[in-house]
Amino acid sequence: ISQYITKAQGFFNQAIYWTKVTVEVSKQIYIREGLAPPSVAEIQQVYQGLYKKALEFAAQPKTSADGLIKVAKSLSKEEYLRFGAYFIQIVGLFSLGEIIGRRQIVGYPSFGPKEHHH
Amino acid sequence: STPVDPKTKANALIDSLPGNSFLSKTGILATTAAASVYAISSELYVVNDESILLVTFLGFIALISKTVAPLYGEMAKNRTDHVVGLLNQARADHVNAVKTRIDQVSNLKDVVSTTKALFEMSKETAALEAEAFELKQKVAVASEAKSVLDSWVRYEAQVRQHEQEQLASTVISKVQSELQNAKFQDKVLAQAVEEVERLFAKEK
Repeated sequence: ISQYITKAQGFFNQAIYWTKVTVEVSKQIYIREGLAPPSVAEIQQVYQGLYKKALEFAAQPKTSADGLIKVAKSLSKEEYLRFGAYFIQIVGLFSLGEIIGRRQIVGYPSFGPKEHHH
Repeated sequence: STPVDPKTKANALIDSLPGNSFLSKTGILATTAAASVYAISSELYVVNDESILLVTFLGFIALISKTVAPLYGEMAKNRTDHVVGLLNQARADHVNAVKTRIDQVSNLKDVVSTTKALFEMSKETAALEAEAFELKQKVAVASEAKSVLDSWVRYEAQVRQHEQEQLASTVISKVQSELQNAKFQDKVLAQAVEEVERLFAKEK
């Protein structure tokens, strides 16, 4: 029995070790990718900028649209890849929020009466 | 073996990823994780028994690579060393062959200067031969001239001798014809008597 206990202990230690490694990797990603929540000032700055752009677009839709097209054309392949990666990350975070919100990984829980199959 | 510090291991894992300028190593991880979360959440990828099979298979592959790879690596290294040894040996043999050939050919290194000297000598020889031939011709001409002149001398000597003989015979024949003349005989006799008398007179 003692050898099984030793083996199990080894597996347990390995699991703990790799969990720690995963946590460290996550920390590194969190730090290097700047995933920390923005400050209030940053949120204000971004939303004020967006509000101004929306007003500009409402006032001069054609000019704004042309500007957007110009920016889109001027972007390089690398920048498209980077922004694509950011988009995937945002979608992933949104999905994570959904999972937390519905308290279930896949699908939504049903709270109604259970169906009876006759 | 003591396990590596989790922080160090994490950094090593991140560094081993194929990161580049526009998408960092951690960016790749974050994007992959986000895509996985989205795929699982949206039921684009359903985690079922096949997923467990896939994970097991990948684990098995990792295990195999960890155990078999070093053995294969060693075998490959031995093979590489063997081939490298053969190539080095071949190169060494080639170098030796070239060196031997160089040694053989180095004996002929003075061939140019020797040839030049021989050429100069041959030119000199040709010049001397030409001169010798010229002198031979001159000697031949001179000897020819000498023989011609000698023949002329001999001819003239013969002519002179012949003339002298003729002259002598003419004189003798004249003298003989004169001696036949009675008057001349008397005259000669008178002279002889006169001379005898003179001699006798001297004696006295």
